[in-house]
Order: sequence, then structure tokens, then C-alpha cells
Amino acid sequence: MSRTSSLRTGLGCVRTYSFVVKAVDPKPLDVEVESYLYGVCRGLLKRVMPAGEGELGCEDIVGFDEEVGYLLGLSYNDVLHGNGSVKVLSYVVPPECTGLIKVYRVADRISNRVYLRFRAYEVSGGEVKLVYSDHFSASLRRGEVLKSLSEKLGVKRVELEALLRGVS
Amino acid sequence: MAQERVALEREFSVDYSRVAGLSMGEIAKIAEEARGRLFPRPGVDYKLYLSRKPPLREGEELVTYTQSACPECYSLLVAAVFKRDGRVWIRKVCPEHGEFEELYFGSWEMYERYRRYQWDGKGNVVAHLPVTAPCPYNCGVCTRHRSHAALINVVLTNRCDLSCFYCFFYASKSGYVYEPSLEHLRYMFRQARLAEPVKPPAIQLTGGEPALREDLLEVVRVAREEGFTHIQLNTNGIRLALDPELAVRVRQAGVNTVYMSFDGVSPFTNPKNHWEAPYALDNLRRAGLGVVLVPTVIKHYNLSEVGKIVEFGLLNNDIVRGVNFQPVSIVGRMPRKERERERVTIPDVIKAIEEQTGGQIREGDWYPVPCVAPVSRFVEALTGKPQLTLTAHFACGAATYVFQDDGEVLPITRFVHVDEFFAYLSEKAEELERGRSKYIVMLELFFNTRKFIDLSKAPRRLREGNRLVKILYNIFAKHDYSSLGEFHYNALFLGMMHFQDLYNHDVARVMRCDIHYVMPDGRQVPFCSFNVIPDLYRDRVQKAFSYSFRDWERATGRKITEDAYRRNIRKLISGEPYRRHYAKLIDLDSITYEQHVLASKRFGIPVVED
Repeated sequence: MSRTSSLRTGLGCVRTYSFVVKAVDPKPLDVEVESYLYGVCRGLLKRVMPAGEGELGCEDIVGFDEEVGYLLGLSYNDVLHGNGSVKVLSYVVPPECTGLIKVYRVADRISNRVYLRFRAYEVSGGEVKLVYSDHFSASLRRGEVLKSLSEKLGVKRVELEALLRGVS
Repeated sequence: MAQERVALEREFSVDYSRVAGLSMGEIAKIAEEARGRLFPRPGVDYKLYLSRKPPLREGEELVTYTQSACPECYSLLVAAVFKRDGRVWIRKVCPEHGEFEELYFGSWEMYERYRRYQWDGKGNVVAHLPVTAPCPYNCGVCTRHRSHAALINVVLTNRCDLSCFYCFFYASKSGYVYEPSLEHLRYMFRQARLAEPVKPPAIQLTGGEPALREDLLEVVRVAREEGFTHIQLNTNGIRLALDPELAVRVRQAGVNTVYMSFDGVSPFTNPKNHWEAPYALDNLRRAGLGVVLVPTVIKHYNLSEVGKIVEFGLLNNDIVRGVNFQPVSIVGRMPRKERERERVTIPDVIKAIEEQTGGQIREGDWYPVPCVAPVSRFVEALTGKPQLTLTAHFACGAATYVFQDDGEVLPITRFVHVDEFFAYLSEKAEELERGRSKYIVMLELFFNTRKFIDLSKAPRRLREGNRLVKILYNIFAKHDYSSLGEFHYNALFLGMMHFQDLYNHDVARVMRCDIHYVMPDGRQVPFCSFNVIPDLYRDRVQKAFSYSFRDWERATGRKITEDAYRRNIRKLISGEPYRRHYAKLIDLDSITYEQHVLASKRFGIPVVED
């Protein structure tokens, strides 16, 4: 795990951010980021579709910075620096889920790279607890990430591999 | 909001005379409790006004939008960075306090050139607090921060032997003594060294005047024990000048470099330590301890003397390793007209140096700090280990190296093709990252480095026997830092570091800051949050961990007033070191004794006769 601290939020607060940003200052940036949520139910993964979608508002900035800042090294300040838009996707977590995986698919049009970043949560007693997060500086091998997610959430490895195939 | 802030400060404070004797574990518990309670509070310390973008006017062209704090109430605003008349400006509008416009960077051309070198860093995985507030109200350092710390600053004391008229930080004016115990400092050092993926190797011991601490040598020892490999002492130099043994003792204890304030070559431009600096330099010479001169540059005050400061550095290059200019950071609130008299930015100082050195050191010889990131990337690719990378914002700093050769000043850019060399290193780093053999890459580096050097133009000592090529290869491929020393010999580092203030404040710069303070509650705060918003960081936290005068005096058996320095100008100007250091630069005989005395007294430093 990249971070030892835990983050507790209510189930109604599960959000992801999908966005595009293009900037030249302070450095060139041209990314398209799509986010997905998967629920872990009895060892299997199930795509959770957003229940709501809205534009990033002032009240969303901290959540955006916390999540996207850690995962991708980007923040609201980068959005402000360039042209772009951020969609805030909110989800209702199915009651049978014992875990959640957020997947961020990043298409970097400057380096022509597409890569994935993950966050994982345990769901218990009406709360979600962060148990795994990639950090933007780490270049972990995909196998290590899958192993870690599999162990922490009790999800089958083949399920994770199928997930990867789906979003890559 | 100001009253509410004061109330918060009263809410949490410790009786430091009790804390001072505690173990590190006990201090850690108090510090951890303090963090949450001293954290900036929305609605009390700041508000968010992010829906309104400031207007642009005729003749102005937008560069970018960013965020910036209101100079009056610290609220977070949207700011426009724009160009006008060949320069770069920043404008923001606070709904409560109106519009603020400030010069951001004195040349659009340089801004555009420097921007090409921007490089984002690896940040810090280890945070002391979760992200619950927007930047810059979450400093600790938070996980959205882009750079790891290259240098940790730690305030050893707020006591100072000087009483400079513009300073409100030192103990006698602030009304309390901040002076963490040795165990407390160990805790702070350890917190700073928790950083991942890159631990800061360097620490600067600062103040107040850190040399006032009687246990300074112990502090240096503890910093070494906690893993810092490069230790800087930031001082006004008075103690170094007056105590010939101090330089030897601090060097033996493990200090690597002294950072000494030095604002000009005359008593009128440098009333802080003009008279003592020659004696301090001689004592540092005897100790073999290198010094970096740190001039704060103010437009109407000493911008006209930056060339002579460089010359002073070159004349004393046996012991002066560098000159690090700091364009003024405007402290407190100041009307626009006054700010215009003081404000200079990096391009302004660079242009003044070019003019005042007769073109010997030109604008193009300077590079922004993050330009060296390809070197770190290459070493990282070669070793497989995360490397220290300087990824500050391009507008924060610039640097060059100059050499002296047969009486000529020779910037490094005249014989090293810097851009091409760094581009080559980037290319080689990419090859290594793709899995190419490091032995082949190193071999290529060895044979190709000479392509980026014009040896015929290099200083003689670097020219002979292809010395420069070997040195560069040893530094970049073998990480042989003794070669770095050989490279530095007879070279003068020239740097610029423009710390922000509330008028030119830019969150994009704060986020990339790589000089951090570690505070007594263990948080690690970027320089330009710590000092630019002192009510929320520096002063709030240090005050909470401070002694009252009475307690400090009772604990030490000393009087706070005993620290005050009284200058004996007659004795200082009659000494041989004084004349030797300045005679080539100023007409010493044209300055009367009375003028010397007035310069010192106006600055706030009393003068005594024998």
C-alpha cells in the first residue's frame, strides 16, 4: 500500500472524477482522464455505474485535490491554469459490496501514454476505508498492484485481470 | 477574522518551560495533538472566493489563471497572470478588500524561456495530515505537493542579537522566546526525514540568530545523527566575526556551509553586517568553512550594487562559494506606490548584473532551477533509486556558475552547451528506462560528453588533460562527489531565489516549493506558506510552543536583553581585514566616521565607543 493512513467517508460520499485538461503553464499538460468504480461482491468484481454527475464546484475542490493529487499529481490549480472540464461522478454503493476499486484511466497526449491508477476501499458497517492507493510518483509493476488489491479486498486475480482488459 | 484568529492562538499553547525537559516520545504526543488544533480554519482564517476571475484590460494578454491569497484577509482568490509591456503581472480581486495588482516577473521573454524547463517532481507520500483544505491551507506537507523537499529549514530560536527596523520576528519584538529543546529538535528532524520517496539530505539551521544558542554544536550533531548529510548555518555573521573559534567549532561539529546575509559592499547598502563581514570571512577562511553570501535585493536600496556584490564574491572566491540573491519579499501590508519602489524580480536583478558587470555575466547565462532535473532523471535511471530532483516552479529561482581565468570572468555557458547536454542526458535516461544496458550508455556518455564542451573556451585548469570532460563524467556517471568539489574550485555559484509575498503569491509556485520548514508540531511547510502567511503557520505554531520572557530568563539565568549587539565601528573600520576586503570596491576614505555611525543607527543597531 502506498499510504498507511485511512480515510473514512460515508457511503453516500463515494465520488470519482473524470476530466480533460489542456495547459501550457507552468508546463505543457494534455490529459484525458476517465474514472470507473467497481464493487467487490463475494470475490467478484461488478461495475458500479454513477448515480449522479455534475460539474466540479467549489465544494468539490478538496476532494478532487485529495484523490487526483495523490493518484495523478494533478490538482484543481492545474485545471484553472488551462482549458478543461471536470465531471464529478457520484455513486450509490450496492449493499452487498465488501470492497470498492476506483480505476483512473489516464490518456496523456503529450507522452502518448495510456496508464491506469487504482484506489481500493474496504466497505464495512456503512463506511468505506481506504486500504490502497497508487501514488503518482510510484511506478509499480502491474502484477504487484493486482496482487496487493487481490489480497486486501479478497478479490480473485482473474477478476482483476478482466477488469484491466476492460478499461485498458 | 483577525480577532477570531487571536482567540484561536490563545486556545492552544503549551508551557514550554515544562515541555523543554520532556523526552522525544512525550514531545511527539504533544506535537501530534497540536497539529489538528493549530491547523488553519475555514471561515476563521480564510474564505474561498473562487467563482470570480479578475478582469483583463486593454493591452493585456492572459498568460494563465491561478489561485492566490488576499493580502488583507488571506482568502483564496482566482488570480490572472498576464503580460503587459513585455513584463508579467498578477491581478486578483477580493470581494472584501478590492483589487491587487503586482509585478510577477520582470520579463515576458525570460518567463517564456524559463517555462520550457519546468519539471514536476515526485511529491511526498508521507503526509502529517490528510488533505481537508485547499492549497495553501493544508500545509504539512500535503500529498498534493509536487516537489519533495531539497532543503529543510529549521528555526532554532527567535532570539536575535540584531534589531533590524523592518523585522517583527525576533524575540524582543514578538514578546516570546521560541527555542525548541534538543529533544524537540530531534523530533522535528526525524519528522522531516520520514519523507518518501526522497528524503531531504540538507538542512539549514536558521533563526533568529542560530549562533546565539549555546548548544548549537549539539544541534549540529543531532542533525547529523538523524541523517542529514549537508548542514547549512544561516547567520548574520556577527558571532562568527567576533569569536575567532566559532567557525572552527561549527565546522568540526559538521556544518558544511555558512549562509551569511550580505546586502551590499558599503555601509549604506549593508548596515546589517558591513563592518563585521570581513572579520567573519577571515575566521571562516581559517576554519576552511565555505560561505554563501545572501543579499536581499530591494530596488531603490541596493539593486545598483548587485554587480559589486558579485565582484566581492569573486575577490573572495577562496572562501565565498556562492552568492544567492533574494529579490525582496515584501513583509506585511504595503501600499502600491511603496511596493513599486521596492519590488524587483529575478529578471530585474539578472539584467542589473549584466549591466553592472559590463556584460561579463549575461541574461542568457542564467537557467531556472528545474533545468537540472534531467541530471537527476539520468542518475535515477542509472541507479534505479529515486534521486533528489530540484523541481521548484521556474519563476522561483535561477542560477549559473562563473569561473575566473586569467583575470576574466567566464560563465559556464560559454564553454558548456548546457541545453544540448541536458537534452542528451534526457535521451540517455529514456534509453535506460526502456531497459538499455547501463554499461553501453555509460560508455556512450563518456565518449559523447566532449561534444557538449568547447574546451578551447574553458578555464585553463579545466582545459588541461581534458579535465572537464573527466570531471563531468565522474559526477554524472559515477556520482563521485569529490569531482564536484574539483569542479567548484575557483568557481562561484550565482543564484536567485525569489521568495513570494502576499502580493505576488501564486499557489502553483507554493505547490512546487522544495524548501520546507519543519515546525515544532512536526508539520513540514513550504517556505512561502511558512513565511508568507505567518499568522497561520510560523507565528501561530512557534508562539504555541514558546516561553514567556520570564520563564526563559528563569530557565537560563540570563536576560533577553543581553543578546543585543552594540557595534564598535571605530574598532572595526580600523582593522586591516576591513580595508583589505573593501578597498578595491569602494572609496573607504570618503566615508566619514559619522556616516558609518548614522548608517548603523538608522538600521536599528546601536553603536558604542571603546
